[in-house]
Amino acid sequence: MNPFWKLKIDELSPTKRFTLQIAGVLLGFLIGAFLVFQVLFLWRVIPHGGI
Amino acid sequence: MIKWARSLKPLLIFLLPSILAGVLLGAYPGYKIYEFVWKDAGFCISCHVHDYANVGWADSVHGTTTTCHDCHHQPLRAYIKEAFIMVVKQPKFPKDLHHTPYVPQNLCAACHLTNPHDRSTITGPMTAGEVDKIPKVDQSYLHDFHLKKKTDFKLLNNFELSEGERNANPEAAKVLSQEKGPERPIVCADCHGGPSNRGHNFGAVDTSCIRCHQPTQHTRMIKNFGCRTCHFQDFLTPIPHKRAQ
Repeated sequence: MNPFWKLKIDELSPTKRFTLQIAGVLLGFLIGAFLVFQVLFLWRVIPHGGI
Repeated sequence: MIKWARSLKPLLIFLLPSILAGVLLGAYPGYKIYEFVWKDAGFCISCHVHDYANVGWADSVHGTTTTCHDCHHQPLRAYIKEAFIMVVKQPKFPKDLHHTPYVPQNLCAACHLTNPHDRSTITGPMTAGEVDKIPKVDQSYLHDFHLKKKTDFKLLNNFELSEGERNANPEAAKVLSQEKGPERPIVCADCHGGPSNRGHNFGAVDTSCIRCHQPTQHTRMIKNFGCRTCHFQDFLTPIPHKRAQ
């Protein structure tokens, strides 16, 4: 079985492509939530308490 | 490495719209997590070692107008250390509550002085206009008098809480430490904090007055009526010329 970075998207079945897209949305969701939280949290913490 | 990145490129291009959609979807929950962590006392209370401080805070005027982070500031590394300690060795009350917290003067000043150096520390729900309406202590006679004086008593958070104060029904200390250090200005926490009234009810107690005003505590008047029966009003009496400003 090929590792994921060697996947050929065009050769995948529609179900697998859809699954990959869902995984992408979930990954983006985690990245987005983490980034927004971190930026706002650090924006509050660092000016008041430092590093 | 370049070859590996090239082979990954089609996958990334394919996933990019999904990831971007996910980032957009995740932004709001990220904000709500920040709001809970920073603005909701429930987050802090769920772990922190407290005695009756939680109840005291909720019942006090600060309970509805401030958040924990308004007054309790710490560096970023302390948050990382806390998260580690919570997993490895969670502290338990009362044995792990060693001393009252350190609340620097400028935190109280942000709301309670006419011209504070810094108001960026305020994170609670009050608007700037509402903060302006809070009575300012530098405009009242005895507050202003004390704020201009110095003391060489150590701040109360320097001292270990006694056994009597470190149980489920803590007894307030009847006598505060007389240990001295370098001379320093009198700060809010000298009268409004410390073991006698550490539960977030910041009303000054006679024990705090007696710490500095030792010679007067033996008079019959003080023994019968306490300090504040007569002097409390002078802490609220406005200074006429300051009020006009």
